[in-house]
Amino acid sequence: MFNAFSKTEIVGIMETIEAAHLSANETGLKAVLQKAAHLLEAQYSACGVASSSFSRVASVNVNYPAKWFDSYVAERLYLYDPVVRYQMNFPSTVNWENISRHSADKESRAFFARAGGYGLVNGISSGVYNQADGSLSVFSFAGGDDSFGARNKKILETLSPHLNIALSRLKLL
Amino acid sequence: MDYNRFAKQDLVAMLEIIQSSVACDTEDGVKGLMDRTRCLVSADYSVSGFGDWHNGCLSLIKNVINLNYPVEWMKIYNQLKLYEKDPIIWRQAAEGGVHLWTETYRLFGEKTSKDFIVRASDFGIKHGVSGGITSATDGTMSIMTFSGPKKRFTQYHRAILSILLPHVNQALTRVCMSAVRERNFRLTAKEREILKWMKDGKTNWEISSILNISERTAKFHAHNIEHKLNAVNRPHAVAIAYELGFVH
Repeated sequence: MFNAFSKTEIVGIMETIEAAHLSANETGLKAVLQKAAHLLEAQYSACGVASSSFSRVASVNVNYPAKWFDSYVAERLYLYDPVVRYQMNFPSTVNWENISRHSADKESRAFFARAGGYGLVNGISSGVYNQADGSLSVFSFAGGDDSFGARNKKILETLSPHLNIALSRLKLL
Repeated sequence: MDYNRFAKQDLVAMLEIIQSSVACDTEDGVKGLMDRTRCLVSADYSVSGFGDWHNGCLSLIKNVINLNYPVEWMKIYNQLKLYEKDPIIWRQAAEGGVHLWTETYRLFGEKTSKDFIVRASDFGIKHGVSGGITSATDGTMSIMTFSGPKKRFTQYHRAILSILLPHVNQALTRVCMSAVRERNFRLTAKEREILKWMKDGKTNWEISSILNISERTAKFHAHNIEHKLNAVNRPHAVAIAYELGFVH
């Protein structure tokens, strides 16, 4: 399964997993997300957690464009974000391109166009359902010239449960 | 941890074990993880245990997952409470972490019961590497042991187990705690099976068809499950079972 990866990549994945398990605060989590972004060759990264009804939402921004991220939180854009909406139903690792392709409604198109204005065109997100309280964690990585392929998907799929351990430790909700 | 010191094939195997640990929620699954770890650390035998931990001591073994330790030895070990004389257990309970047996025997020196070591050696349990994690908040301790008759365990194997222990331990703890809770609620094997189908939304009639029992029997078991879980109705029973980790 991981044989197709180089030793350097595997070492990078292992180091990120270890860092996620050792992370104890927001600074630690940000460092872990940066490591993951480096592995995924992504420019931007952020994560968030929401209760099942979205009554409680918390997020951690590493380096998403601040203006976009502030609007996203202030305007509660996560309620319209097609990636988050998809994750609420099917928590998994998905390439934004795949969701965009299947999001024909006006709201979704407007959302992607607005995000694109901040350079957030290509991206990959992973959702993890938290059985203990029914909340959903989402980890997003964006930017870069190429869209994220199967290798990136495999890396993020492997990392996301561990990223979630680091995020859960912050008890943001 | 310097991961570059490991061979690529060992790193691949470790990553696969780590990934499998995340989703593992059955005893067979844990045995699979133990077996793959056993291969990586060049051991012949493996056994894991989970119990209560107080004041740096293992006070009660609550669950054991035996991959392939000699059954006769396990019987003697339990009957004579040899874990009270086992230096490997002493050290794991006191310090946690991962240790080679040779180091532990040296550390405890004269305190180590020679009789215990000779007895274990008779069953091919002579050398090994063990890892344990204690939780002060839960008052629990888990331990994983890999052993064999030959002196081939090195710092390389110790390092491998150090990497894998937190991940495999999560799966082990999940499964053991679920088993302990199930025992506390005294669900029978048949009830556990029916509970799984209840979770999938099957009616008593559907469960009776699947399990080849009468509808009345399925209803009887479902009622017992609700009663044992102190549930007010069927969905409540499934919700409680889900929360307690009996179903996933």
